[in-house]
Amino acid sequence: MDAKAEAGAERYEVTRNACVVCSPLGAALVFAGVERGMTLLHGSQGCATYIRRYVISHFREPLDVASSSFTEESAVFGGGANLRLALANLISEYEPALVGVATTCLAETIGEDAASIRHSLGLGSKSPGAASPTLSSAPLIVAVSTPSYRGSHREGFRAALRALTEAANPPGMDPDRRKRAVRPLVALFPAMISPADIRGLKADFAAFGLEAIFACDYSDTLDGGPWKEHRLLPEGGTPVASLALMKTAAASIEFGAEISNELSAAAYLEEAHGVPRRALSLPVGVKATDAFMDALVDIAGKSLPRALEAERARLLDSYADGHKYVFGKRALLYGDTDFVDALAAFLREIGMVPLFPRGEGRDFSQAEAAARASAEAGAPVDLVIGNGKGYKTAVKLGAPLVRVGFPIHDRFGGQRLRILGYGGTQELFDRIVNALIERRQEDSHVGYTYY
Amino acid sequence: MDGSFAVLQGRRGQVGAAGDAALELACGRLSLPGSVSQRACVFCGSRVVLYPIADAVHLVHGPVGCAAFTWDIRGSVSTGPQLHRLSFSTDLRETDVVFGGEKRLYAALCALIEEHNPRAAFVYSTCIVGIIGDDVAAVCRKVSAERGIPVLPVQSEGFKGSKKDGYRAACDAIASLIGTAEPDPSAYRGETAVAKSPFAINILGEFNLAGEAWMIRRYYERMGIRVLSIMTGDGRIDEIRGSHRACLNVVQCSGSMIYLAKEMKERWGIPFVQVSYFGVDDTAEALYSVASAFPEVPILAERAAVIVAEELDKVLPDLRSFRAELEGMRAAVYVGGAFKARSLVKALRLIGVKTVIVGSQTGSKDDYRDLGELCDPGTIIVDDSNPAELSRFIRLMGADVFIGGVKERPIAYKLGIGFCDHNHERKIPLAGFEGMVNFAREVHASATSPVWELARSKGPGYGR
Repeated sequence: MDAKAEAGAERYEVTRNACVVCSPLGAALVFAGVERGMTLLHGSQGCATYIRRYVISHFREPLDVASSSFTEESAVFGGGANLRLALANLISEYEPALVGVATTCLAETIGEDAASIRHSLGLGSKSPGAASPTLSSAPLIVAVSTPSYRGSHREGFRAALRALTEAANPPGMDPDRRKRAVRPLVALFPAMISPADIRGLKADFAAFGLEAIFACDYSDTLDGGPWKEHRLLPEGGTPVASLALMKTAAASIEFGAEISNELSAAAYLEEAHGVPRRALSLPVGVKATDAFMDALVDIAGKSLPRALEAERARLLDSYADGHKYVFGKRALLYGDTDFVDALAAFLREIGMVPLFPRGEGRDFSQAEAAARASAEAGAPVDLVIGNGKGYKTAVKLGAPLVRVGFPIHDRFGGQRLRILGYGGTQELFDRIVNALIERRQEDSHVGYTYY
Repeated sequence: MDGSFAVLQGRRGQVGAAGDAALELACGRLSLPGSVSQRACVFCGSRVVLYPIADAVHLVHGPVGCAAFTWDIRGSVSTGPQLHRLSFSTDLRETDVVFGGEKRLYAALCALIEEHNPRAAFVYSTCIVGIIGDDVAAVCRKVSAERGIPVLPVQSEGFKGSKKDGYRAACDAIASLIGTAEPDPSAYRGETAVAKSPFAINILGEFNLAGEAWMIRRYYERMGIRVLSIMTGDGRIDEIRGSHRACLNVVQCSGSMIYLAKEMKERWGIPFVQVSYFGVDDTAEALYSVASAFPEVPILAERAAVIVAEELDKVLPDLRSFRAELEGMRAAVYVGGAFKARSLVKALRLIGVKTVIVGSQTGSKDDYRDLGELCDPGTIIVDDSNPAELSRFIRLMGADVFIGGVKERPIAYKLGIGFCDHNHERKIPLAGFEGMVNFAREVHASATSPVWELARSKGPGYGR
């Protein structure tokens, strides 16, 4: 246990209305972003079902997550038999190309972590597809430790990205440098961003003529069309074969707040395969998007494409048009640090004041305490920005809520909300300005029709 | 027979068809690993049953997920306290797993009781609590003695059985409260006219989703009956404590609360009847069966007949017009309890919709046999199903609308058929007479929507 978490452990006595969920959920999203990828949670049946319900309510798409369905006997004598049976059943039913086995707190507490699962299933560092010779069809099987008593959904997401990258790009194989020079690839490690933002990032890469391999891409699997023919798994996702090409990438780009080396898939690619790691904040706002574009300019050896230049110019123009509505306004942030940090930097660049709880910030009572402290110091919160779970906090504080991120269970279309890149920032900026204008209009008795 | 329904080998015997000579589903099994069961776990069973008790603190002892996933999860409403809508967790970490979580549990309970002044506290054990060996009961006893309120451990470790075992753990916790206080007629929350009525009942297994318990209570009060406690619908600890003075327990959602009804019969000699409030037939039947539990007062049955007649007059015209448009449609029903499934088959039949697939997460052999007799021959009957089976069955049988919960919704929509949420998240009352109209409206709004035709269209370039 690291020092930060230890210190955090002293700060709370009870978590009230958590603004994070547990790590296996993050892993399930990663595996949903692989073509014909499925998650198998090693633990009680409930974990899989709760996670499905939580994810389905946000994306409004099916997400089938299997479970090894522990019984009392498995808890005492080990869950290995259940795990093998679960694998056999889900492989015969779904014919997946990838099975991500993520542990739960129960499995980990009885000592069945990713390493022991790899050992018991005989998963070595063979090439993808040959991971489990004992099974009839042979999907790539990846095991990842995601006990919910460690970190939150964010850490589960990171751990799964890393495990997936390692399994598809085992160490010891020399990168094909010639291939790398001829065909510049970028290995992209996202955070828990929306399908629309994944599509937006892809368009940015396309504008540079760059090919990017998203280590997880649920832009179709969790935001796709009707199923006209019989299928059990949605179309889309990054193919396992593409994942295996990440070791040949010219560079990797890893989005998010500070990511420790052992949780970083990009760090692994750099150490094992010499792929240079570029760790960037999520590109929300002009400055952060500029840093992302600088990276693409550098990797592609091209200048900023005209379309993106124009998008940036429109965004700057809107900053000028909208700056007075937002200047000095205080916005409360909460939840996943990848988003909190990126949103905070964006708010500062438009003249707003971000406010967020100190320390771990795992629940809304901490966020509300931060807001109250600010109000008592004469600076009440004007706006709340975050996932839909902040609704009650926003109501308590009397401030409008601009919904971004995951989950959004109380509104429609969360999967189509953008905040990344110049285009995504534009959408977010417009929504923030309008939320503030709308509140002013509602609060005024005059009924102004020009703002 | 079930070979033709293509299920995993380990699930053979859990699917059959109405009309089979010897329909005997294997049920009560634990979910098959890897089958992507729609069931949750023991914890879920306990949490959903106790959730609507609004003046108690509900503390989840475990890592953050179990509490986060069940925050505000049900559409259960309360006239007063809203404690049930909050989510509290001891948020166990790695050090707690190593050194135990009892101290953390004690501190959390003390802090929450100080903060919210609840009438009781429930402490839910999650998976790892059962492994790390915390003595939850001892901590609960200590806090209870110090704070002077009941603090009840709920043995709901996720892996120790199925959702049904969670129901039982919840019933055990409630049972330990019953008989610890006397009912207070001056605190009666319903119609004051019946506050002292000698005909007192409890309602079990009703969760006041979208205010359904209030509707049901009004029916009984119009009959002259006092509702002593709706245990878990707009629930109050003090009413539960005095509920042993009822003459009758009326149990709906029998899967979840039948244990408590049996326990109360044994301990307090209170008889029970099993009812359902879904559909007009079953609602009417519920009122009549409660009346017939008081054979010495025929006026109750007479009043029930008046209520049924009045309510039918109000709803039948609407139901007829929905039926005109729904006649001949086919439904898939997959819900938590089989008792509800039966009511739904009948309710659908009333609006002209034929059930072609029906299943539940927790039904018993008898439930499925009854369903087999109730449904048209050939109807698929399935226990503990999963998305793969359900989508295959829907294609095989050609359903037009799916009645289920949020996890089933995307299955229906991806396949291009209507959906009606009949699970515990619903925001529209579907119980009782007026609930039947809402149900018909929901089914109609989805099954007859023009969007399905568009979803099936080929798009530009394929000719018109």
